[in-house]
Amino acid sequence: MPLADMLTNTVGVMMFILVFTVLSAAGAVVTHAFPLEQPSDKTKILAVCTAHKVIWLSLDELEQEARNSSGILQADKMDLWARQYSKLHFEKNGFSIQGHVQFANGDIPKEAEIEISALHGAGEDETKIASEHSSFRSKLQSVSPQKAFIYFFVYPNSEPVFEKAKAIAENANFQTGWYPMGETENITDVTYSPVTSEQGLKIGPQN
Amino acid sequence: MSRKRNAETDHFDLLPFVAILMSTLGCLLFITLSIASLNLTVPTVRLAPTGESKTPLLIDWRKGVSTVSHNNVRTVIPWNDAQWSELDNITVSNAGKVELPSKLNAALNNISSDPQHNYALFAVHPSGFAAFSAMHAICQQRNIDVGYYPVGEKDKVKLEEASIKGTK
Repeated sequence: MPLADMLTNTVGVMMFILVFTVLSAAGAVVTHAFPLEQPSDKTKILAVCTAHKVIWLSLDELEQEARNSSGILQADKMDLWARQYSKLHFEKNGFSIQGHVQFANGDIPKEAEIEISALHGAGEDETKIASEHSSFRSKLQSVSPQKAFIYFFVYPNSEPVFEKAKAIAENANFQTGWYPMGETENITDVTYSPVTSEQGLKIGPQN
Repeated sequence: MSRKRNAETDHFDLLPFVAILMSTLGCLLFITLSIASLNLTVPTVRLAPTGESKTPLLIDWRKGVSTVSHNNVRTVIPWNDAQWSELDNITVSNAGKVELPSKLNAALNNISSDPQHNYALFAVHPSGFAAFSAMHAICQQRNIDVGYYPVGEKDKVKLEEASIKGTK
């Protein structure tokens, strides 16, 4: 008889805990503010969220490195420059860079761009960015929220680290925006285009 | 002699009671755990207003299917792969050439009929990341304001009650 009492009481307590868990789980709702993208005159500071990590992306530095590697574009040696640019490949700041050139007629380059992909293992994960001395926080401290906003390129399955980084940036009074990237999609930066034929996307902060 | 017989017949065997108790509680535990795991694996993301004067039209955006929620009516709009690959390469300049599914087109027309008060609010699931830039370009080409938020692949998305008044 005492065994039955103990058994019944134990299972009863377990049931209570589980019912409580179910009721709590049913109400597990994450609330976010309505996002609305708006144009901004502020400088765009880029970051990439990929493979559960965040990496700062400085296009200026990568473009400069690309210019240094491919040489200066000269009107009478465009074909030579284009061939050199097509072979461009280097690694910098946690990214792998590949040069591409599209030709209009023969050897005349129509557009040159760099394709940017994150190196394996580069960047800081959720735990690291939360720490006081992370490079993510250091960069935030080096720019003014009045002059810049933070823009994230987010790859699938890196939403948790994006949420964390976004929260840190917003706590530091920065406006934030983001853009969804396809799993195999690379970031491209047009570095040379004599004719602006296509209207690009207007992107901005969403808070 | 008769006393001894009474003591034997009054004996109450607890084993069947415990067995029934354990079986019942075992079933209840299984049901409870199943419900708990279901609730835990499908969280709800609720988007709440922030004082914006515009009314959002919620579009749940994932690969192959988008769901438009308007006046508490959810319209599921399927896509096919050919349309998706076509959408992948469009820019704001050529976005007008894309033929959208009629129901999605109608939803965007509804928003663009009063762009001062309406905008498109996308809940973007990971499978829809790749094609979203095309949809974004289409909205910009039609002068539709957009907001977009990343949500998990299995997440449910709801708008706060105050905001579900339908587009004006």
